[in-house]
Amino acid sequence: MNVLEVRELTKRYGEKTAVEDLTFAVGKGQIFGFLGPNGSGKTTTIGMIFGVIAPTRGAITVLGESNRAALARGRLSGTLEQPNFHPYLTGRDNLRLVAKMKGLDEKLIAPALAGVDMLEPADREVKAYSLGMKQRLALAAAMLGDPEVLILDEPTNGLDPEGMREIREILVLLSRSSRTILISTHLLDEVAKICTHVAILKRGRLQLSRSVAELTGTDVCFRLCADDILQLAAAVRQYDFAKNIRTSDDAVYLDLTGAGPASLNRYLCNRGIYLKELSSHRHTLEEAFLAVTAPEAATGTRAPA
Amino acid sequence: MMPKLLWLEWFKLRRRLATWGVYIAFLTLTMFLFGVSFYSARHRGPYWGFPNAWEDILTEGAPIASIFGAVLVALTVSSEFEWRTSRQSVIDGLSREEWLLGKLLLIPAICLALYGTQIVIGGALAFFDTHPSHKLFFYPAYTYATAGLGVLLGMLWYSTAALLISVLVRSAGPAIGLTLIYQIFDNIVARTLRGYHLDVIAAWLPFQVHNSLLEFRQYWPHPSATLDYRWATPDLLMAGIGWAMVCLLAAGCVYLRRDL
Repeated sequence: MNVLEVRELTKRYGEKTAVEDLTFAVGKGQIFGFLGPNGSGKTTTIGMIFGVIAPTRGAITVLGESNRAALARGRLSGTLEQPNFHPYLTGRDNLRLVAKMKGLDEKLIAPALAGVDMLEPADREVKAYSLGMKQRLALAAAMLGDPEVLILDEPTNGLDPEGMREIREILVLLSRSSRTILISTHLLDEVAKICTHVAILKRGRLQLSRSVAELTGTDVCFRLCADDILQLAAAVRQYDFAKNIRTSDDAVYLDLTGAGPASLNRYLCNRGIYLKELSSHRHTLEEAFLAVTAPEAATGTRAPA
Repeated sequence: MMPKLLWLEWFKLRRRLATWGVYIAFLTLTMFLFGVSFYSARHRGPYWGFPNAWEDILTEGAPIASIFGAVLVALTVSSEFEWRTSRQSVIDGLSREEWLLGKLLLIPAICLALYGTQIVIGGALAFFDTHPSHKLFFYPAYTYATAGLGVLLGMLWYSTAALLISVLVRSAGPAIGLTLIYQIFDNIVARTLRGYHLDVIAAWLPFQVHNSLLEFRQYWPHPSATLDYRWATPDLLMAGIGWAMVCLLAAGCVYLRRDL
């Protein structure tokens, strides 16, 4: 069952298209990573899901109803860009406002603060908080009322490694519940650790949407090194079973389909190319991300990082 | 719904130090203004007590109340765009219409609070100087009631103009600045129009209507030759309501149509 459905979503600002014909779905209980380089349209898409940005075209359904209805009924919640609070109010008072807006009992505030380890600083003004504390408070605010769908836009943005670790631990805890979570982030490592599915955007268009297991679990990538990299690259391009060929200064990367590494080695030896290295490793999420977002991805000349 | 929205707005307003800073500045100016009237009447006469003090109580401090009301509205509304709490409120479950309605409820509340403060301070001072032996000319109660209503309407218009400016510029400093500067702009246009003998058109400009609403002579039960253009009281009230509605509708359209 899909809890979030986005169909043919388009947003144009005059001549500029921020999001174009975006269609994807998030299933119940999924931890969905929403990935893309800066300016790819992630925040615009989330803004449209939250109803704060008007789509030029398209439809959004959350739990079978409109996004506005889901927000009004507290079934959808989250954050957009940086944490947004009244700086002169304390953390607790900001949550009182959120509880009132959501029509919730104030008794829920203390457990929500405890859940993100914010009970102690809760009575200080938000303007005195670090960014990490604001991010945690934003998580507490989003979690008030236990929404079925949670959307978090860059929850680790601007945090130091310690702050990132804290937020990741909270997200891991959240991911163990049955709720559906959509996380937009640049941090592929975070996504690989907690997400079950990902969608990758580039220039407002969906490049792929599938499970993390599909992206990283089956295909194997090979790394080849030889004295003359250019000669090696030219030779593998003529090899019928080599796909998705990428080059770097000292190596060639490729996927093999329908043939093994021994056949490839034999093919290269027959052409007078003797490999110094032939190693294999599983695709990482980062490789998949770079493969679809790099400008040269279509020509197959970019190596994984 | 309305009690919830009023609770939210009052909670945000009363916890903010800047609100009290503006209110204390307003209180100080009001006390100074009425204090001078009271003090000078005691020493130089004529006395400043009821009923003749009503005219001053109702309209003398009204321009101050109107300006401070507009500044408070601009400060409150535009800050929510700067902090993006307007956007977050929608994510947290308030609809855009509810957020706007909260601000619309705030406007009369602020105007009533400020104008009420002036009436209480002015009334208290006038009470101390009232003596049964003093019998001076005073107007029918209807005149005072209409003047009070007219002043409130003028304050409401200026605050709705501040609301419109705030949803347009979405930044506290520029919103307050533009709210204050608008007076100068309106006055310059009015003066230019009067220079071309277009007094009637000049009188219809929003801030000129506002000034007329705050002018006690506009509510005199008999015609006055002292004003350049004298409004019939019902026309003046209708003009005030009209401009307030124009600003409200424009603010609503801008807020509801723009992305947050």
